[in-house]
Order: sequence, then C-alpha cells, then structure tokens
Amino acid sequence: MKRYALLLTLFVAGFGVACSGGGSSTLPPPPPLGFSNSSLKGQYAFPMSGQAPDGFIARIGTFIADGNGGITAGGIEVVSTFSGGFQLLNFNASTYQVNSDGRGAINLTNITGTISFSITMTSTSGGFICETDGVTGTSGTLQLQDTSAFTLNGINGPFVFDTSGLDPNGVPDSIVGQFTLNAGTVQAGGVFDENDGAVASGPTAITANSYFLDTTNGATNGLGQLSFNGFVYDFIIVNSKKIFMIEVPGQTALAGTTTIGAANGQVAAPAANPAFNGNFAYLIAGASATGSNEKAGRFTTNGSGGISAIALDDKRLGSSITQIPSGTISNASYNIDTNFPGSGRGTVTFTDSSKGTFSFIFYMSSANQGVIQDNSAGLVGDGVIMAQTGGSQSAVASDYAFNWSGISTNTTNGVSAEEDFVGHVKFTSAASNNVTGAMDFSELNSNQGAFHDSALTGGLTINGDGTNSSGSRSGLTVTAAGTNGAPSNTLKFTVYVVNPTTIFVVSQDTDRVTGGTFTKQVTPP
Amino acid sequence: MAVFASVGLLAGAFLLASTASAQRTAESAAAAQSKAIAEGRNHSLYDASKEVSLQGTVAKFTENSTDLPVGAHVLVQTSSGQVDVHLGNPRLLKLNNMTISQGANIRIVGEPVSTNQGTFFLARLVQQGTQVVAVRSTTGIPLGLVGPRTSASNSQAGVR
Repeated sequence: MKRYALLLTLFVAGFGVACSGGGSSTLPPPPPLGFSNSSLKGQYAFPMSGQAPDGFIARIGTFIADGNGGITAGGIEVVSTFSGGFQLLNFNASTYQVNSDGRGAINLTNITGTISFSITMTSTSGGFICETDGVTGTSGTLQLQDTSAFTLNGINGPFVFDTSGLDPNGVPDSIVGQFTLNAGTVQAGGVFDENDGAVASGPTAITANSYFLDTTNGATNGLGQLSFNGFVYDFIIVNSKKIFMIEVPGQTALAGTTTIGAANGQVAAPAANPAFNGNFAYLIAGASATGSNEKAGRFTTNGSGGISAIALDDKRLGSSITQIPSGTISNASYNIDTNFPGSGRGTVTFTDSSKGTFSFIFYMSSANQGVIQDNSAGLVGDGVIMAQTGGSQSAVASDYAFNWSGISTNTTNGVSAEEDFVGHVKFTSAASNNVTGAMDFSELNSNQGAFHDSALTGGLTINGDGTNSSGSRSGLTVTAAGTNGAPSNTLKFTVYVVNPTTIFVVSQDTDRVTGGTFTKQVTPP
Repeated sequence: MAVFASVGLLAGAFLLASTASAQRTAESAAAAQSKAIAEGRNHSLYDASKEVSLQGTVAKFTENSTDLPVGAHVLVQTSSGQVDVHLGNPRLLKLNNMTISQGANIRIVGEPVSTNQGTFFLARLVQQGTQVVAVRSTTGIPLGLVGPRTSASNSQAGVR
C-alpha cells in the first residue's frame, strides 16, 4: 500500500516539474490540444488485462469523474487474480488529472488501497488506460457510459463479441462469436468459435439462455450477467451498442483464470461473399508453443471468395519479425459463412510457400469492422479487423493517443515480462524527425516498474497510402529519451494505416512482442 | 500484491444457482477440448501421442534464457546424451515452488516440435521427486500464470 502512495507522490511531483519547464531531464510543456480535467467528466467503463506479480489479471469496471479532478465514490470493478480470485470491489473517492495533450493520471481507491493508472484521452468520450503502479501491468480502454442504456431492454439487439484469456485449466483461450440479446433472453440462433489451446471448437450454435442486471449495481453501473452454452459472463454496459465482458470462473477453475473482452452492436454485417469486398487490416495478439505472438496484416478481397495484396507481420519473442509474403502465396481465399445467416461469420486463409498456412475466423459487426481469431497451426489469438482505406504521410499528420502492450525481454538478465505503454504523439508531414510526444509505461521485466512522462522523438515513414498493400512496409521508430528516470530505449514498429484515425503497429524489435493502436485525438470543443 | 490479497473476505455464493450450475469448469473445458480433438479440430503443433519421457540429471539450468525459445531451459544429461529442453515461463516454476538445481534428478515429459522459430524439445511436464509441474497444455501451449485452486482464492463475487 505504501508503495502505491509513494508512486503517486512521485507521479504528481513529476507533473509539477514537467509543467515548470525545468532542467534538461524534464518534459517540455505539452502541446495546447485543449484537454483538461473538465474533459474527463461523467461515468466511464473500462476493461483491462495484463500481468500481476502472481499471474494473469483481468478487470472490467466503472469510475465517475467530476470534471474537476475528483473521482466520486460509486464506481466498481469486477476483477480476477490468482491470489484474490474473482471479486467485486467498490471504488471510493479519489483524484485524477488530465493534461492539455490528453495524458493524465487516475487513482482508483478501493478497500485494498489506491491503484495508479495513466491515461491518454482520444476525446472526451474515452481513451486508453494503463496501470502504472510499478507492480502490475495492465492496459485497456475507457469509454463514457450512456446510463440510459442500463436496462434489460437497453441492450436489445445483435452483438459480435470477442473474449480471450485463460480457460479454467490455465490454457490460453479465445472465444469469438455473435449473439442477440432481447429483454433478458440470449436468443437461440447465435454462433461462436472457440480456440482453446490451438484446438478449434468449430462454429457452435448458441442455445437460448438469459441475461439480467445486478440488483445493486445494475441501474447505477450497468453491471449484469449473461450466459450461453456453459459460458457465464459478468458485463458492464457502455451504451446500447457496447458491453464489456469478463468470464465468471466455475468453482473448479484454477485460480486466476478468466477471459475478458467486449461485445459490439451488429449492424448490416456482410451476409455473403459479395458483401465482403475491399481492403481489410487486422491486429492480433496471442500465444504459440514457444510463447507470445503478435500479428498485424492486411488483405484485399475481390467479392467472390478471392484475396490478394496480402501482407502480414508475424512477431515471436527472441526472433526478428517475419514478413509475409516470404515466399509465394497460394490458396488465398475467404468465405462468408451462409450456414449462419446474419452472424457476420467468415473465414480467410492463405499459404506462404516459405512460412506455411495462415487461417483466421472473423465475425463482422458491420461491413467495416469486426473481430478476428487466429486459427493457424499451433496458435491461439484474436483481435480486431477493420476496413482499410489507408492514409498518406500528410493524412496522418496529426495528434494521436496510443496504447501498446505485450511482452519484452530484459537484455541484461533475460527476464521476460509484461509491458504496457500509453501516451500521445504528434505526427507531422516532415520527411524525417516527424514524431514528438510523451508516454507513461510499465516495464515489468526485472521489476523495472513504471515510468512517467518519458519524452518521445522519432520518425514515421508512410509508404504510399500506408496500407502496405504493395508489400513495402511503413515504419515507425520511437525513441524514449529516458526522462524522469525512465530507461532510454528505441522501439521499432511496422505500421499499418487503417485509416487516418486508426493505425495498427507491431514491434520489430527482437526482444519484444508488442503491438497496439494509435487513435487520432478529437480536441475538446 | 497485497492490494488484492486481502479481499477474499468478500467471498460468497453471490451467483444465482441457476447460472452457477451453467458455468464451465476445469472438467467441462477439458472435455470440450477432448471432444474437439476427437473430431479432428486440433491444429496444435504438439502431438501428445508422440510424447517421450526424458530421465536424467540436470547438467545446466537457465532460468531466463534468451536462447530460443525465450524462457526457462534445462540441459538434461540422459544415458544417451544431453538434451536441451524448453520449460516455458520460469515464473510458473516459481509459482509452484519448483527449484531446479544442477546435478538433481529430473524427468521431463515432452517432445521435439518444429515451429517457425526452429525445432525444440518442449516440455509439458517437469518432475523432480514426487513433484510434477505442468508447464504446457496437452496441446503444447505454455500455460498461463495461474495456480491451484484454493478454497478462498476463487471466491464468487459479482453479479447477483
């Protein structure tokens, strides 16, 4: 507990120094984007997952910001850890701070003490959040809740969902699918695919079940529970088209096992191959027989089951990045599954003559967005798939919030552990030295802990339209200057520009398997 | 991680019985996986039917090796030579209080697996004396950092 208090003190002090414009080791004043404490106002929901000292940790929750630097009592978290099990905790009053660049700090206090988080806002409606207490590394998103949706009928409709984590035996697990909620009923007719330890369930029909809101926290925090086919999830309503989910472990589950994710409202998903036509990019995190895996890639569909312009960056710990095509591509195809009409389910596969076959299952929540599960040999993983329009160097010259997470190895002692980053960068259209910004991060290998206000410089190189469809990769190099006690480090990424507001990245560095997203910031009015 | 450790006090059977009975369990998850394997939907690189047992002494143990695959490695001296074995995440061994020392007797259940990073002998089970630690699933995926269930640790709280 004292450790958290100490870190909080250091954190606040760090901001004070930064804002004073002091010596060379301090951060320059943030750019005047216009974020402030008043930008974080209302009730926000979050999902986060990562690594605690004793293992996997996952949580969904809510907090209430008063717009003036205060967290109001009333928020909650449902959290799963090895030592604590599966718990519901209430948040008491605490504090937060938001700087002009959207970066800031949130302290959430429950009966166990105060936990420190760093945030970067993408708009007043949400942003990225990263636990930076130096003990536990987690990250995720935060999103303003619409409390008018906190009813059974407030979330009626079809949803596409994706949860991942550990099955009850501690095996890496991914579940993606589609269900329909209606007045307390999880309707029959949905479908899901589970990849449990590189074993695929195949498309499995969802049988009718139920959902309900919590008698204590349903109306106030949007907390509820839904069940289908043996899965039980606690959920928190974000709005009528989004819920965050965490799986409730059964009594014989190993301690600390759960899966966590989200369900997004589904509208006009492709029902047949011609409706899935265009360019798509995806980002996947997962596990293999040798450890963590991160993928970013893209492909172009032709509307009749064929795919082309395939690019894929596949990262494993200890190895340089594998870029596909590495050999010759063959057997490249996709199929929208008409056996489950309206589900948005589809498959895509291709074979690289040098690196083997890659297979994915996806569920589209609309024509432009969905979730994707890696079913390639020996892999468990999932993530997001989005229609890709790309963006040139000048099109992405703007301010972005970012979150990267993954595993890195300490090159001195060989320890590998979770790392999580959250921050802000400004990209300019200059040919070089076109990245500036700052970030907070957790680096848990060798217990290095958490670091705040690390100044960033670097270079973003967008080739053409940034889609990587030509095979020529776009790249990003970011150097953390080592300010405020943080280690100096340079991170290299392959960049997939989804569109001018969203960019996927995957690390190229041999000693890390890390990826994430840049989201263009919307300046507060 | 004292911040979470003391909250087992909130334990309670808050879940409705109807939903609690529907929850998947360790047994049901294993059964579902076995069914899928029997139906031919196993796409793992690890073939449990090809597992072998290595018996020998520890010639060298590296808790945090940067050799591929990154993680814990043990060099096992067997009657037919030395075998380098990848044990997965070293924190899982620590979590289970397994200490591997040079010269100690050790038994490994695993197999050589070809991956896109190379071919390695991957351990699924590590045994010293009577202690056995599972470091991989039966499909060869390194297990997550979780521990055995305890009466207090898997408290059921949340929606009610």
